[in-house]
Amino acid sequence: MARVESKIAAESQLDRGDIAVELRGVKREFVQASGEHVRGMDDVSFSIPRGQFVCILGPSGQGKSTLINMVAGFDQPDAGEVIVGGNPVRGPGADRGVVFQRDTLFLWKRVADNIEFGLKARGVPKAERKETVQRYLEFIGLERFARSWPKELSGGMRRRVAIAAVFANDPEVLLMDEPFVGLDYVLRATLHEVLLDLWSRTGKTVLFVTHDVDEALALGDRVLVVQGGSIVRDIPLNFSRPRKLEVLESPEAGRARVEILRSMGVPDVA
Amino acid sequence: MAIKMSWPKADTARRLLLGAAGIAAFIAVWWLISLGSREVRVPDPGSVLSAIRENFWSTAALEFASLPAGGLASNLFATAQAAVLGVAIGLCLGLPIGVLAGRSRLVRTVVEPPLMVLGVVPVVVLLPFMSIWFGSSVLAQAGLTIFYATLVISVTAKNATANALGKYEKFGRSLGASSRTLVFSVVMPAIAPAMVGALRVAMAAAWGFTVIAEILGANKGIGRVIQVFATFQATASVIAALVCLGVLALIIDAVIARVGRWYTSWQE
Repeated sequence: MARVESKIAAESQLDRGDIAVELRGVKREFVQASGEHVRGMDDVSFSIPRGQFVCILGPSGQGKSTLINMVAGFDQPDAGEVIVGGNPVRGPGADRGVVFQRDTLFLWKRVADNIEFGLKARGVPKAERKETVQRYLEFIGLERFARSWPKELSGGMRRRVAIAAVFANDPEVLLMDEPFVGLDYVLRATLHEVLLDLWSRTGKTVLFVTHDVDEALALGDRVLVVQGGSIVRDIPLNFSRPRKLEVLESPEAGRARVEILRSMGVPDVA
Repeated sequence: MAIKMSWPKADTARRLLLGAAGIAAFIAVWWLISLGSREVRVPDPGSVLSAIRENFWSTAALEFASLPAGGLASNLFATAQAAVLGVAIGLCLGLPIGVLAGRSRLVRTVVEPPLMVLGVVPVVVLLPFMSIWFGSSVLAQAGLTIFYATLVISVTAKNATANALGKYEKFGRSLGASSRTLVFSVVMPAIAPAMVGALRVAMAAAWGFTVIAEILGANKGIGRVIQVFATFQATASVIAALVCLGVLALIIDAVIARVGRWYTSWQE
């Protein structure tokens, strides 16, 4: 598969200060127990302007999680640089919030306290914390559940709280690692709505990892297709927002879909 | 925090009834055995009950025999003091060791071999050291408990901490939590359920270790009382002391369990 260096047409015109996330020549190799070397990331470079919603697509085990881990600071590259908000990434931090695949809510804290956690950890004054928590509870429609325990909530409600907790902490960049995998379409659509609502209110930069093409088409401004540790496609999605279901019907969406599937290595069914 | 009380429902009442029937059956079998045996070998349940009643608040009948003053009640209290003290010290020692080991692979590598070696020592074997080191202070009775409790609590804390961090550390750090916040706001609550279990195990063992230490070298406590009754072949009184000890141990365990359940009611 030919590697394509990602070049956004307008990139050269962008002011450096407008770049939220930048990777330069990032390489990462893993050594298996068998001694085999696996390229987690192979000379990856791209940049993401502030406020963009970028979906990272690709088959499993091809570098998506490695990429998110690099930006989050859970892993360090063997070569190259990862830069967020102009600063090189040295480890995890509140400027890069992460929503995980698994449910990571603190079960011993009530819903409101979960949303408050990051604010409290960073020393935000009490009055401001309470006001922010109340605001986000209203955004996700769970004001009535402020004092509930996570165990009393359904899976979908817990996801909403997790997303709110990360958004409320005001990170520069939001990293989401297949957060809705395994959920049914209807629930996923509800969560998409919550996510896009929070995104449009706050204007955060989002990196959303998924292996579902329709999800990427529903959410993203841009799709980066990852295969074999490289970005093989960088496709802008210029559909209007809010994205209705009918968007999926349009010829542009159809073409984008086929292009993405091809670049992921999906074969024509014989 | 609202305390949820669970009132006995139909099947709980049935379970209590069946449990009571089991105890009644046990007493019935005991009584039958005692009929065919001398008082000194198997006293009947009735004489044990009167022994409890006679000796509970004072042991006037045997005070001339250098029995510790105050009857079963005050000696139970002395034993309880030593047992609880031992577990408390074990908690203060074991919790930090365990959490530190759970956080750091380096600390784990250093601390695990000694813990493993100490873990195979039969605790009772350490008794002679207790009188050498602590003379006849309450620490001599609590010493074995301290050893065992520290071990159990540190190993439980180590494993629970490592698990909790594996689950929550990345999320916590990406929200801006410092190491201190992680330990006190994430690890401590997360390991609470496991620690309640470890406390109950340590407490249960504490009774046994404390009584043994008292039998062999104390001047008060239920163990000393049992030892004196035994020299007078007052079998019913020995059993009486054991029954009271057992009931006390059950009550304290039930209290720890109840408080533990309330404190960790957030669990799924």
